[in-house]
Parts: sequence; C-alpha cells; structure tokens
Amino acid sequence: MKLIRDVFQDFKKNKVILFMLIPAVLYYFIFMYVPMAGIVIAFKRLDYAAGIFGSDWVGFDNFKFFFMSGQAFNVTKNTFLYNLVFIVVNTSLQITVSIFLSEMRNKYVKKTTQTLMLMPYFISWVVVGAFIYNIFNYEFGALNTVLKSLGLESVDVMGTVGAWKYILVFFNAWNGVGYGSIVYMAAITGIDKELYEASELDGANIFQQIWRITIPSIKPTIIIMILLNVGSIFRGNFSMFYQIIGNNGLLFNSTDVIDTFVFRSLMKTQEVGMASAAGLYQSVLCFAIIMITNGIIKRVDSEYALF
Amino acid sequence: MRIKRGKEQLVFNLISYTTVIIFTLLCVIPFLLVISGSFTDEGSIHVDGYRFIPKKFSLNAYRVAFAMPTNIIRAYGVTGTVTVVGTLVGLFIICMTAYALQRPQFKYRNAFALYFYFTTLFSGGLVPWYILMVRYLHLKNNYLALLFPAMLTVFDIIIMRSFMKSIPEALAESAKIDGAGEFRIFAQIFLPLSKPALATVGLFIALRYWNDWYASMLFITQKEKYSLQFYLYSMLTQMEFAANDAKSAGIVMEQYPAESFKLAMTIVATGPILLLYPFVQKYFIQGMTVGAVKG
Amino acid sequence: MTKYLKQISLMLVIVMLVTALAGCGSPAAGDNTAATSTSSQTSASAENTAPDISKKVELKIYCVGDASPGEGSNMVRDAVNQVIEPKINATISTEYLPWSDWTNKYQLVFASGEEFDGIYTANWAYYQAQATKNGFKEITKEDLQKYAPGLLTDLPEMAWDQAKINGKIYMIPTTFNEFPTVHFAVREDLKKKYNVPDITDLDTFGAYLDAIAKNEKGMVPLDISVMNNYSDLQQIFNTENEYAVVGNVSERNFVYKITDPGAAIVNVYETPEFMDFAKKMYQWKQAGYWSKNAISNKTPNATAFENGKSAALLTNALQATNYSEQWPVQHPGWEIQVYDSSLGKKQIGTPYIGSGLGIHATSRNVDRLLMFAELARTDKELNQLLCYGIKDTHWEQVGEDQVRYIRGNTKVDYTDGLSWFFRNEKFQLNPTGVYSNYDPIFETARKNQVFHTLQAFNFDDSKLKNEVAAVSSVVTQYAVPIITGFMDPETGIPTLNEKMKAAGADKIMAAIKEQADKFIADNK
Repeated sequence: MKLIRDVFQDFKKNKVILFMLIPAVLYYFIFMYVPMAGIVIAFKRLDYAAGIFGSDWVGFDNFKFFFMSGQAFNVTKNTFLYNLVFIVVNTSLQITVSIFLSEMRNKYVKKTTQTLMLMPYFISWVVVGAFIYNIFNYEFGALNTVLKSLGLESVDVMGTVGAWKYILVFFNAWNGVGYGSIVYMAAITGIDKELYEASELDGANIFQQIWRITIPSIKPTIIIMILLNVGSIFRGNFSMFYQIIGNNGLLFNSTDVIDTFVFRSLMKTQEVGMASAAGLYQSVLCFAIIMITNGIIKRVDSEYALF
Repeated sequence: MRIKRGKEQLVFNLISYTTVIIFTLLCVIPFLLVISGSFTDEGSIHVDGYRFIPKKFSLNAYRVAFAMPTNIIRAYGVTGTVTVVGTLVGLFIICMTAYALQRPQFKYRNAFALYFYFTTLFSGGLVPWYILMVRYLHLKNNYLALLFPAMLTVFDIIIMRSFMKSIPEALAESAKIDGAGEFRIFAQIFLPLSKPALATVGLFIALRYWNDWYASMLFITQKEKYSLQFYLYSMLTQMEFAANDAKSAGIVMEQYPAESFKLAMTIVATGPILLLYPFVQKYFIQGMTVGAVKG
Repeated sequence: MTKYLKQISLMLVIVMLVTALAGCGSPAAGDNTAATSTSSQTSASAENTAPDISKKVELKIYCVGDASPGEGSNMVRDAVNQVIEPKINATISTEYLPWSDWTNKYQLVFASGEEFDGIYTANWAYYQAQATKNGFKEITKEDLQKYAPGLLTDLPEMAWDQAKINGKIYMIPTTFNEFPTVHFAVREDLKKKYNVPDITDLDTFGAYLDAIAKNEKGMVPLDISVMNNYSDLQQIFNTENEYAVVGNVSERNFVYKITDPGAAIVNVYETPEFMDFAKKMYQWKQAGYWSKNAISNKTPNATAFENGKSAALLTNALQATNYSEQWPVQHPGWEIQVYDSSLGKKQIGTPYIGSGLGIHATSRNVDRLLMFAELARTDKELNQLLCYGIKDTHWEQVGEDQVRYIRGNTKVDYTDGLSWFFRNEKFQLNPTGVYSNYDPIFETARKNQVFHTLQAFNFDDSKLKNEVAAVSSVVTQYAVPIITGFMDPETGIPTLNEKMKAAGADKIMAAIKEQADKFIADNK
C-alpha cells in the first residue's frame, strides 16, 4: 500500500517527466511487450489452424534438440568466449582510436581518417566472406601469390583450424572499431576543456592527461557500453559467423556459436517452437548475467548501473 | 592552446598517427578492392580474384543496378525519406526518454530503465511480431512498417542517458530557480549541450534506417515501395538464383554479373550516406564546452 | 390428366435447366439457387453441374523467390489474366517470398493468418512440415472431379500418391521429365589434348581429373564448393549403389534399394560401400582434384566451370544443356561433353512433388484455384506462357519442339518462380543445341528406369523433430566433410556414426522402417 502511495506521489511530482516518457513507453509496449506473449510458442507445437495460443503444449520438448547432439555446452561456451574477446578487443581499440583521433591537431587528417574508418561498417559480411576466400585461398589466394612470387612456401591458412579464431576476432574488430569509436569520440568531446588547460599549467604531459583526465571522464560511457555488450553476450553475430565460417564442419568445434548451430539444425525442419526455445535459452542466460553484473556495479557505484 | 610541446607529445604523436593511419589503411584497402571489383568483368573476378586495378574492366554490374533508373531513384527516395523522418522522430523521442530517465528527483527512473531494457533480453520472436505488424496493425505494404522497427533502440536511449548524466545538475537547478519547467530545461539546456550525443545517436539511427533491408523483406511486397538496400538485395538474389540454380527450371542464359554486383551494391548504397558523414562529424570535432554555457 | 401433364412439364423444365447450366456455365443469379437445390436433391448428377463462377475473384498466389527484376513478372501475370478471365472469371495476383529469407517468410505467411489462396510448395520447400501443421487445405478427389477433372486425368496416379501425407493430398504436383542422376561434364577439348580415354565411371573420371591436375597448373580439376556441391557427390554414390532417398527425408543418407521391392531401409553411412567411396574422395582431395579450401568456397562448381577455372562439372543431364550451348560461344575453342555416370544401373525418376501448388487452409476460392490449375496445366499455350514467358518476348520456338530464351534485358526478363507451378512434360520444349550425349543419357535413363512403391511414401517426422534437427546438424559437421574428402574416413566415419547415434539416427531409422513397411503393406 505504502509502495503504491509512494509511486503515486513520485509520479504526481514528476508529471512532465512522465509525459515525456509516454511515447517510448507506448512504443515498447506495443512493439515489444505485446508480441512477447508469443514466448509461449517455445512450449508449443505450432498448428496454423489452432493459432499460437490454441496449439498443443509440449512442455520442454522443443528444447531437446539443442542438448541432444552434445553440442549445447560447446556452442554456449564458444558464444560466450568469442563475445568476451570481442568486447575486450573492440572496446580497447575503440577507446585507443578515439583518444588518438581526438588528440590529433591536424583537422584534415583527423576528419579523413575518421570517415574512412567507418567504411568497413558498410561492407556486408557476404562480401567479407568472399574477401577472406580471395586472400587466403591456398591455390590462388592473394597471400600465397605474393609468397610464391617471393619464392616462399605457400601456407594453407584456411585449412588451419587454429587460424580462424584470429580471423574472426580481426574482422570483427575491423568491422566495428570505426563505428564504435564514435561514441567515445562524442564522450571525449564532452569533456570540459578547462580541465586540460589546468593540468597543463600543472605541468602534466599528454600521457598523464589521458590517464588522469580523459579516461576517468569517459569511464561512465565505457562502463555503459560494456554493460550493453554483456547483456547480449550469449547471442552470436549470426551473419558474421555464417558468412565467414559457412558450413565448414571442420571448424565447428572451435567456431560454432548458438545462433549458427540453431540455424543449421532447424534449416530443414522449420519448427517455430524450436527456434523460439533456443531464443529463450539465450534470453535466460543473458538475463542472468546482466542481473549479476548490473547488481555488482550498482553496489560499487549506482550511478553507473544500467537500471 | 597547448604551449608546452615536450618529448612526450612527440612520442605520442608518433604512436597515434602511425596507429591511426595503419588502421585507416586496413579499412580503406578492402573498400578500394570493392570499388575496383565492382568495375571488373564477372568472369575476371572469378578467375583473377579481387585486384586493385580491374584486369578486365566492365560496367555490367552498374548497368544492371541502374537498368531501371526510375526504380532505383524511387528506392533512393523511399530510403532517404524514411531515414530523415525516422531519424528526426526517433531522435526526439530518444532524447525525451533519456532525459526523463536521468532526472535525479524522479525516483522510479530505474524501474522505467528496466522496463525498456528488459525488451532487449526477452522477445516473442519473429512470428508473433510479424503477426502483430501484419494482422493487427495492418502495416503490410505500409511505409510505417519501414519506419517503426528501427526508430528506437534501448541501446540509443541508454547512450543518450549516459551523456545527459554528465551534464552538471547545477545547470538544471539554477534554471529551476529561474522558474523553468522540466520541458524547458530539457529543450533549452540539455538538448543544446548534448550536440555530440545527438550527432552520435542520430548517426546511429540514420545508418540503421539506411542499411535496413529486413523490414522491407518482411512487410513490403510492392516493388515500388522497396527500400534501397532491399531493392538491390532482391536483384542480387534473383541474379544469383538465375545464374546458379537454373537447374530445376531448365533456364539458359548469359552470365549475370552476380559477384561484381555484390560489390557494386556496396558502392551504390554507401556512397550517399558516406558523403553525408562529414556534416555530422563536425559535432564530434568541435565539441561543446560546458564552461562556455556556464559562464 | 392435366395434373399429370403439369408434373411432367415441370420435370422437363428442371431437366432442361440443369443441362443448360451444365452447358453454358454462366447462370444468372436467380437460376443459381435452382441449380444448387437440384444438385442437392440428386447427388449423383452433382459432378455434371457447372460450378458457380458468377462472382469475379482474384486468386492471390505466393511464389518462392524474387519477382523478375523488371516488368517481366507483371507482363506474364497480365497475359495470364487475359487468358483466364474470360474462361473462369478469375484473375491471379502474385506475391513473392524473396530468396534472401524465404524460409522464414514462408512460415510467416502461414502463421500470420494472412488471406491468400495458393502457395508454391515442394518436398524441398517444407511441403510435409506445412501440411502436418494444417497449413494447407486438403484437396479431395471429389473437389478435383468437380472443379478440375482435367487434372485428375492429366497427372498420373503415382503423382497423387506421392502428394499424400497421411493419406491426404495437399498439393497439385507437376510432371517434369527428369532424373536426379548427377553426370560428369568435362572439357572435351582438354580431354582430347591429354589423350584421356572416354569417361565411363568414377575411375575414368578420376583419370581425367588427374590429367588436368598434372598438366593444367592454372586450373582446379573439379573446383567444387562443398556447400553447393556436396549433395552431388552424395547423389553419385547413391546412383552407383542404386539407392534412392526414402520418404522425402531431408537427409540423403536414409535410403532404400530401388531394385528391391521389399525395400530394406539403409543408413548409407554405416555401409562398407560408403567407406570405399569416402576413401576415394579422400584420395581425390589429397591429389588436389579440388581446392584445399573447397570447404570454405562459396562459388558454385558451375560458375567456376563457366569461367574456365574448373575443368569438370557435376551436373544433371538437363541442366548441362544450358551450359553446353552457351559456354563454347563465350569461350571459343571450348568443347563440352557430358558423360553418363549411371553405369547402366537402375534409375528412379525425380519425385512429382519436387514442385507444386498448395491451397492455403483459409482460401475461400478453392473452386476457382483448382479451375485455374487445371487450365494452367492442360492448356498448352497458357502452360507455356507460365513456364517460359511471353512467346517472342521471353522465348522463341525453334523447330518443332525446341525453345530458345531471349534474355539479357533486365527490364523485361522473366526469371521468377511463377514458372514452376504447373510444369507439364507434355508441353515441355527441349533446349536447343544439346551436347551429343544428351539423347543417349536420357535413353539409358528411361531404359533403366524402375518404379518403386516407396516413391510415393512420405515419412512423417512430426514426432521426431528433435532427432531430425540434431541429425541435420551432425550431417553438416561430419558427413559433409567426409563425403568431400576433408576428413579421413578411417577415423571420421566411426565418429560420424557415433554422433549420429547420439543424435537419434537409430530412432529415425526405426520410425522410417515402421512407416515404410506399413506403407508397402497398404499399397500392395
């Protein structure tokens, strides 16, 4: 009772703020919460005549395929670890690049490089997949053509299972660093310039400035960005993995992520319920990890928490 | 501004310029290959691979892309309009939401943040969403179906909120003392101070709209309403199909420039938005000094 | 007496009315009720009553694939409507399920409860899945008799049998004269250059590939893409052993022997023949007959062959006709020949349900859709219009029975999936300029063609979806690399079979066996 009164009073006090929230609240209600009822499909066998809610319940039957082939643990682990590495590599590169860019005095170089760095974002993974084949192909690839012309031995990069991890991490960074660094650029631009001027008077050099002013100032942004990424750590970037790895079974033990595994399993059966079940599995894992992480952050400094 | 240029500055410049330039080259070289490949004869791509200078020059890919000029212009029009309208509306809603979510006196702000964030964790999936859009909202073949899906993301709201959080609360307090309401504080103090964030999030929304083909694929069946990316995409898949899988249909034809078209597509679709980028960019470079407003 | 006369005259009027209706088929609204009431009284004559087509309807039909890039699709659709409207008072409107994500969209249009009448379906396009989920309306023989008797007589009984899922028909199949056998297309000019003897089997084909590997440094002998071509190799194996995939199962390893009427079901991965075949493929891959990286390759074999990168092509006999005429024109000096890979083994035709029309469960125009299907299938001009496009715009007739496509003008090209709905071998035209082995290959195939009860069998996997999904994933991970020589079969095949077991392959096998035995017993 007390809670309701409390909420009511808070709302009454912040009428304008509530009013400002209405569009987004409605948007998420209609486009996200309403269809969310469809999660029940994960526990049903869809029958078109009966519709989603009229279809038969099948319990946890739709989840079985995922655990049957013994791959569930492996693909879950892969998804988690790849994303973890992606977060670490991309975040540190994005921060580095944005600091470097923001410190650049030459406006022309600064603008040009920044624009050009965004280019990979526009190249679709389909094209990237073709690139990789073109570069690393054993018989005709660009790399071996160069090696051969230098009188060196050809290397079979694509046939080396271990190489693909690095290829994936590299291209993921290549694709996302330019785009992702924009956020940090903007955050750095927001830092009060007086801070730098004051520190210069104190005799701080550029490295000290970066360490003592820039990084602490953009810390909230860094934490938020990491948190946002952690929230989807169990979701693989399907188009990237699929376009780069394709159906190369030899690599699956080390490169298969949940999304590609599910796609491959369901390609032929087309069971909505099973796809939905796999999605729910990912949701639950993501939910758990973000609740834990956010909880920890909240305890350390509630200002940085997501919610 | 900086008077002292010590040894450290020199070292730093050396490192930063080299790193940035190497990374830029890594980004540009593949793009150059894409450009060159898009002007290469289809057969030559398959035989010679991607090269910086086409071994056998050909305009076929672009010929196909622009075979029906009115269609592609219309597709540019659809995407352009949707991008502009969607970005403006989306950005405005995102800003309001983000502002509300960071007001310290609003006790239940985190409950609302969770309300939004929760949707990124759990979703009903494709089928229920499609049913909602098509059967209940009747958005099939409606431009709104292109507009709604990409309009707001929780990601943008949270980034915007974190930027607004960094604006000193004292500014809001003093405005309040002057009798300004919440909306005026939002519009006259927070918005102008958030220009870098507006540019960032605006760019994200715009790119999302510009690159979107999925909404078109799902909801648009009338060709004249296709977005640019989907228009190109459907031409490509049609060509690939016709070229590779003619098996069942028993079709005879010349070689379609499917591979070079894939590359030309990148150019045709990227060009305009990349030209726009420098205009947005100035907001990350000039920046805003809070002190200037304070004083 | 007058009373008696009155009764007779009334009877006569009714009879006349009925025959008149049956004859002209466009009754006025008032007569309509009379017709229905009479037909309900005399149910025997119901089939002779012309259906009511007084109301004009639009049949909404979903095709798989993208529409032609230009106006081609619309041109054909309009031309079709011009033909059918006066005959059945209906027009068609078409929508497309784009290739980019058709598998998702295919189920979405069913799940959303959208209203439409017809949709493309096929054994490879989720026919069974959608049928068992009540996506289609059952097509009864009575309906066919009433609205489309021509379809019943035109399609062989076997076609209808194949279309049966749990005893009910959900699609109108097509007839298309083809065999799934995969043959060897080679560069005859190179073969002659290196004095390779004629190709009669896998080993002689291997000899050709070997000659290329040794002499043509710029080429890959058989530049396959594992993703696109592994099924070709599997098919070669199946042909060699006279196996056919059972019950339209999605994986090709569950097969039956086509020469054995009792039909023992076999999981090929467990046979010694498969081990031998896999060893050969392993050797071939080691010998460099295809790229060390073919498993990551996405360029199909045909594209590589077309551009002179590959010296050989795995292809079916009909598809090869596309290449044999076109490519020597693009590359002067080339000579393309196709060699029969069937070794005189028995062969089985491709299933009739490889393409067809399904009626959506909510369609209100079943009658008109069936009428349209009948016309489209039995009217030669309409059929060719649908299959090839507008005559002299999209194709031209050469001689008696040959077709030459007119292509290259994106604005009007007709290249979409509307052409597959009603293929009828009776009206099918032959490609021009076929390779010289074309006729012998088809003659051999027809001579060795066998029929099997199980051709009409459809496996119902609705209770084994989990197993099917798990097996499907195992096949991509292990079987595909083994068939294409990327995994040593000595160690790979035991692993494969172990994983298959874990995924529930035995359960699937048992279920197939049970259902197949029952099917054979029922269809004795």
